Amino acid sequence: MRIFSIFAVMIFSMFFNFSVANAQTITDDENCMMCHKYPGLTRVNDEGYLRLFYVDSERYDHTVHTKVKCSGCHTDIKEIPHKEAKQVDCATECHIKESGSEKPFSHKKILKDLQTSIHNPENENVRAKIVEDFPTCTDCHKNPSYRFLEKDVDELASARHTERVFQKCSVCHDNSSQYRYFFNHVTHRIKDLTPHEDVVATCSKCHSKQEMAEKHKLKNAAATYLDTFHGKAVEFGLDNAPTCIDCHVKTGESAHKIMSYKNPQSATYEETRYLACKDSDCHADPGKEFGMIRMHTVIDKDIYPIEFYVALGFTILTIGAFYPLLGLMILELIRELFPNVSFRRRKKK
Amino acid sequence: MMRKMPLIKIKNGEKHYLKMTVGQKYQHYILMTTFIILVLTGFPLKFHYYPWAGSTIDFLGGLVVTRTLHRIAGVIMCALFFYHWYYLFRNTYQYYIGPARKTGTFSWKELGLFIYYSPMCPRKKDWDDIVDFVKFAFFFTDERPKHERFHWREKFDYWAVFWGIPVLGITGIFLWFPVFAASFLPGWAVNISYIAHSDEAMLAVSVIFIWHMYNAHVNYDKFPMSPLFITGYLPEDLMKHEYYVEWARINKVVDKDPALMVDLDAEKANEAISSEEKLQIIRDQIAFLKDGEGEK
Repeated sequence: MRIFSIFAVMIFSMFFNFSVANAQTITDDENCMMCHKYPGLTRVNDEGYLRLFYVDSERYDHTVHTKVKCSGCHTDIKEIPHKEAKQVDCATECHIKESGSEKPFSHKKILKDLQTSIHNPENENVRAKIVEDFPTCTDCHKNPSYRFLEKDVDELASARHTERVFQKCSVCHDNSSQYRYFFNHVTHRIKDLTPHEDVVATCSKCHSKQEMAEKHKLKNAAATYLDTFHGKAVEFGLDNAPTCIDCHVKTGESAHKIMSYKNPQSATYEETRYLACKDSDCHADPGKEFGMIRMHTVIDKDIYPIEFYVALGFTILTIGAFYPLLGLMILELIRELFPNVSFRRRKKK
Repeated sequence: MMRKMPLIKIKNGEKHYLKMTVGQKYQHYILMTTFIILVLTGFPLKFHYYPWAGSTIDFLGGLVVTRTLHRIAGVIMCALFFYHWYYLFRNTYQYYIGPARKTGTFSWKELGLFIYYSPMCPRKKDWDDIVDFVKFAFFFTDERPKHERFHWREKFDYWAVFWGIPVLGITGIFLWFPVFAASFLPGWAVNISYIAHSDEAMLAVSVIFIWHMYNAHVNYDKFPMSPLFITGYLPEDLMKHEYYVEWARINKVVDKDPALMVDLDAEKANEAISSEEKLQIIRDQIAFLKDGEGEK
């Protein structure tokens, strides 16, 4: 019996060591976790919503922001205990220093990109200026919330094969928390690690909503995209199938610079649209007219009359050919039940 | 039909009438197989939003496989279309133009009549048959229209495919090679190809799986299956009921030339041997082999 307990202790301590080796502690010089480590830290706000202020340090450790101090983003908090904090501005210069230079790091440049895009309500091509509908950083970049919500427990890691890639890198590189941080930082931005469905899902958050499209005088972009071969290829898991970003962002540009098709700088500007299709993995050598193939076809008489009348023609043909035949079929099935009944009997010749 | 092939086969005491030649049967087999493959690989894409779409594609081996299968089947179906054109011209030459030239009796008028009275050509009689059928269906009369070798329903199916394959084939090529299509056509041509390909396929599938299946297999006379597409022959009761004119024509031809009727029952009876004959063969064989051993 004793020998078993010794084994049990040995095996248990193995796991114990292992978990200790992987455990990381977040940078918490400011001692914010003194309060925020408690899962029950909540308050009912003025609008009557229950707000949860718990921070799951395990989750925070695995995000891109793990190196940033709390006050790096929550700049308005100067003392503890603090009052209600303002919403974080992603363009804040945080306490991280950009590697290679001694300047403080910030997402300002990306915000500038976003301001040139159609997602800025001030853009002249915006059809309906409903400011609260326009996306901010966090609408698309769903960093995991640092508190736990049952539905998104596995969301971050499950869709990507990061672990497998990481194992390869760790053959040479140290499997330390610092290394993992840089690894995550880089791989997060490598396109192929982002499943295509995720890109479409991100844009679909707004662009698949019919009422949102109507409000902004647009069409349902996600639905029309899913009706094309591009959308179907993504849906059924074809490699290299194009997502929204592949066509709406110029090669090499920031994904934040999605512009109106009316803007000459845009990837979808009619004159140069075919260049967006040109890729050795997509369409090798498209002509200018190739770019005019519509990728968000709406059956609408006013926008695309040719498509509308062709679809109408085929609908009439289908109804006109199929339903009369179906009618005759049903009539015959009824008729043959009473083969000898009729109003007028012809004399047999 | 004009080759000397048996027009009537007698099997199990029942007469079976020739309706499809061997060549026509194989054309139908190819059309049927490619059609089913095209539907299986194409419809999951058209109805991508249903859960069965994804599982069908996974079952067939993924999008790369279904895409390849769809293109192979499409090319074979188009090849069949061209073969059928060749088949029509060859028959016209073989059965009218060639013999008429050799005998010096060729006339354009007769060529027109040859085509007009060829089995699949729509004629005034078909329209009359439809009118008669509607009268019959609404109980105005109890007499069914008397049909020839192919009645108006079969001609409708035939011409639907004849129009459908070019529409689906050409639009299919545009969708397969959109860069090529857009090099000489405006961009919207690819968009309308997409609509036409998908809608025409929908029409073809509704007509084939409901109307054609009903006429060929599911109606009261033929349920659960007609042997025609496998054997090429129809039993006499069906032939007389549905193709009275053709039944009468074949009978007339066979009366003139009884060699066109093959009695499979009689052949079988000729081949059968009695117990005495069997024993005689065995005994003769034993005796022969015994003699051979004795000579050594």
